[in-house]
Amino acid sequence: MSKKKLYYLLISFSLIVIFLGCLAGPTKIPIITSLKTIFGIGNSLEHTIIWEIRMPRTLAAYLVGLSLGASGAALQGLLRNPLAEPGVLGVSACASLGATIVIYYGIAQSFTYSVPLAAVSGALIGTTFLAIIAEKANSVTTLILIGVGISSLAGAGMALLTSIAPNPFYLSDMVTWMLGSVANTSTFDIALCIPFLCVGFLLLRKQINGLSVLTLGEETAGTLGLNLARNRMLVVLSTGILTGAAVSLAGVIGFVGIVAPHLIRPLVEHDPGKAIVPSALLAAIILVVADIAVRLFPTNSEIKLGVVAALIGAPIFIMIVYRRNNFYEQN
Amino acid sequence: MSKIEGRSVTYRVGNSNLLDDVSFTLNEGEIVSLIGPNGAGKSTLLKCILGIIKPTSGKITLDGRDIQSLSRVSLARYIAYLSQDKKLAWPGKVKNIVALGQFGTDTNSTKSTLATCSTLNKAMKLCQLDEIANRSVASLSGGELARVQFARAIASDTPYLLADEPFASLDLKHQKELMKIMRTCAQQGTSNLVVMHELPLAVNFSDRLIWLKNGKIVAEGTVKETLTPERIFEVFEVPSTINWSGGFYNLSFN
Amino acid sequence: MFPLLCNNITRVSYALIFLGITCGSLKAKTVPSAEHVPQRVISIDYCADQYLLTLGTSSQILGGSPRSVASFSFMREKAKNFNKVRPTPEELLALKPDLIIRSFGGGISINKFLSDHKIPIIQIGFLDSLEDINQTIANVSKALGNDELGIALVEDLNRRLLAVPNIKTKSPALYMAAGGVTTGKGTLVHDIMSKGNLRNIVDTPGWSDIPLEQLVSLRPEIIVHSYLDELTKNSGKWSAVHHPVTKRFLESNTAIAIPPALVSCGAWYSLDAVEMISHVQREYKIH
Repeated sequence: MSKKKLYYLLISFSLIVIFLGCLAGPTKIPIITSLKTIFGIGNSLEHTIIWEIRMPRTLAAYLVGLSLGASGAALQGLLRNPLAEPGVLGVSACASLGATIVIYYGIAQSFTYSVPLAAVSGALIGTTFLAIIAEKANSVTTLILIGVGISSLAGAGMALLTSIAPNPFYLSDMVTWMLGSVANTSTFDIALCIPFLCVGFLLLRKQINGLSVLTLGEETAGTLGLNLARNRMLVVLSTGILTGAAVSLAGVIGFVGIVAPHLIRPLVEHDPGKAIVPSALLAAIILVVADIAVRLFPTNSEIKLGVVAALIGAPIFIMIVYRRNNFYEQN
Repeated sequence: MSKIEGRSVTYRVGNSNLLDDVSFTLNEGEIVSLIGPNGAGKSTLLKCILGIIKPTSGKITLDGRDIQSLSRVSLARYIAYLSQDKKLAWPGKVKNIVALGQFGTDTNSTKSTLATCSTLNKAMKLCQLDEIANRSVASLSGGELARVQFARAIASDTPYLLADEPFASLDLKHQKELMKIMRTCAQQGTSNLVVMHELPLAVNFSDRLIWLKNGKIVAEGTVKETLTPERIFEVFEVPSTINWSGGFYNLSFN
Repeated sequence: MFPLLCNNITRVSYALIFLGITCGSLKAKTVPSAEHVPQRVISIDYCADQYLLTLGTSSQILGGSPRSVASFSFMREKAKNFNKVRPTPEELLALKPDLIIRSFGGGISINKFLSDHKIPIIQIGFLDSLEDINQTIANVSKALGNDELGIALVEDLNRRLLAVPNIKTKSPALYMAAGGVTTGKGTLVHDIMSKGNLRNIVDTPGWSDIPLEQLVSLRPEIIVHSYLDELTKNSGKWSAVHHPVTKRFLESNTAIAIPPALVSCGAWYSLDAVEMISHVQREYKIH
């Protein structure tokens, strides 16, 4: 598929799903009225529902998808491994732990940026650790098992915090951290994350060509002029920032960073650098669709977004592992 | 005249010298084969020239400039490298893999874009990849993959090409094919320094041979000057017979 | 003959004494005596604590759960005077209680463990209505041998409930718990709100997430919430309480703050919550 056609499709679908996100919800608003409200005509009730409740959560799902899709594609390019992704490798859990510490010890109340900063710090610790280990890990399995270990450790940390936290309601909060949700997102929450998302994307943008040339292996890429250490550091930094921002907005949402790049790579002729932006867009579309499904599914309490993402993504993850053809096996 | 020169290069690890007082020259438009047994220091020497390893003592210069003082980016404009590890991380298309060789090229101006394109096309043509340009590398045979890697290396359009065992696991036909491509490049001015185990191929296609054993250069010079059964025995500890017939050396090992 | 008669008299006397003892002991089994009123009672969670501390005498109470003194325990002041017992099988067994009062404490297998060791348990379920509470008061007070106390309490509760004035047009309302959840039909809070003359806008049964869109479309006039201090301070990051729409509601509508101790467990003081809501509602209607 040509680059132009691919982007055209992804951007069109993005606009469609964002629009549908404004229409979907428990309150029945006629489509015409919704359309009018989106374009500024409508009463205050519909305006509040569409612009203050539905639009922020739709945008949040979109931005989180962009971050996780880009991070997943970038980590896969850096580690040269189709199963690398912030959720699977424990980076999201580390971000979650960072944010949880700040919230439960009351720091969040005095300094608003503390939550995204703490989430980003947690994510950076996770990605840095992974980047170091990846050099020494001699197989895919080792890397993923280490990721599982990191995830479990971070999860245990959060469970510990919940046991010693004074307020019994923090237990349900922790569940949401670990399962992910964009319900109750406000424009303020989004605004808080935007600077981090911008910095993350700007840093990552410059590494795209470097990730492409890593296809040849680190040694060869180095001889072609790629500054390996700098490339590694910037990819680690940008994915940490993007994942941290995504987690501070929506909690841990896994697998979407594997699914989107996996679907996109054949369409970009398996160039890991060229896969980044389309993967981000596709992951964003997937998450918005998942959030719409979550809103419409008839249960008492809304299903968590991360659950739907896992229901879609985990089987695909298993399929990738199972069907890893000879090409990847040799490598 | 461009050249790479190494003077008294030593690389020490622990108590052993992987390279011991090695001096050599690499000139334009020639094929030089680095031959020797396993562990002789062949790959190490290549890596020193590439700047991946820093010699413990001695100096390697490119056109008079110390290689250690050149940045990776500038070095990339002069030297292309074919690693022993030929694995590709992703099953990309042939033409895209070859195009990766142009990573360090500055593609900002239109003029250089055109030049880049033409270099790419030349590399593809030379390695007979036009017909399989859109195929995935996952579907290629060993011989085809070797040509792809080689095309990638020459797409960089560098005056020097360093190759570490490019003929490994190739059958005879593909070995000869690749050697012919290398000869064409040499004729066009590229200087090739090749590490190889295939002695018959080396002696029949190289301009010069550098014989390495235990990190030391045992002999260096043209094939005619250095190829003797005594030399083969000295380096490889294998008795041999050399016959010259029809313009080719025939080696037999007892 | 006299010795024979004496022997017979002795035998008959012994027989009569034996009979008397047997009958006496039989009678003791059917009539509650001081031995059968439990004297070593432990409550193993903060809901069970409320019942033991209210319906038990001080001499009966062997210990309460560690959370009996938490801020959301209604009887926390009285609880300070008693031992705290962790509801683990080891600790319970070691204390040799003769009755355990339980709502949810100790884990799912504690009941089996206790019955295997022949320790009587009285199980309080999750109480969904004031009627359930009355029934539970009766059951627990009977098990503790303090029937009259239970009966008097229930009568008082019924009298107070009848005294709550019934208003025809009930204001639409919504309950907000700090965790970001609300309640619909079939829960105690819903029952409290209804008896306090509020119409709960949430019709989904049980507990569910605070519905932001329904807040906007159904516009409850009264928000009932369970924290005396700021609701937002006690809510985690994900609670709908932080959303600007919710904050506007809390600022612009009548919000009734109920002490968390009144709703954390269903017990006799739940009626306090009904009275509180009814009172505020009447004032709201007046103004």
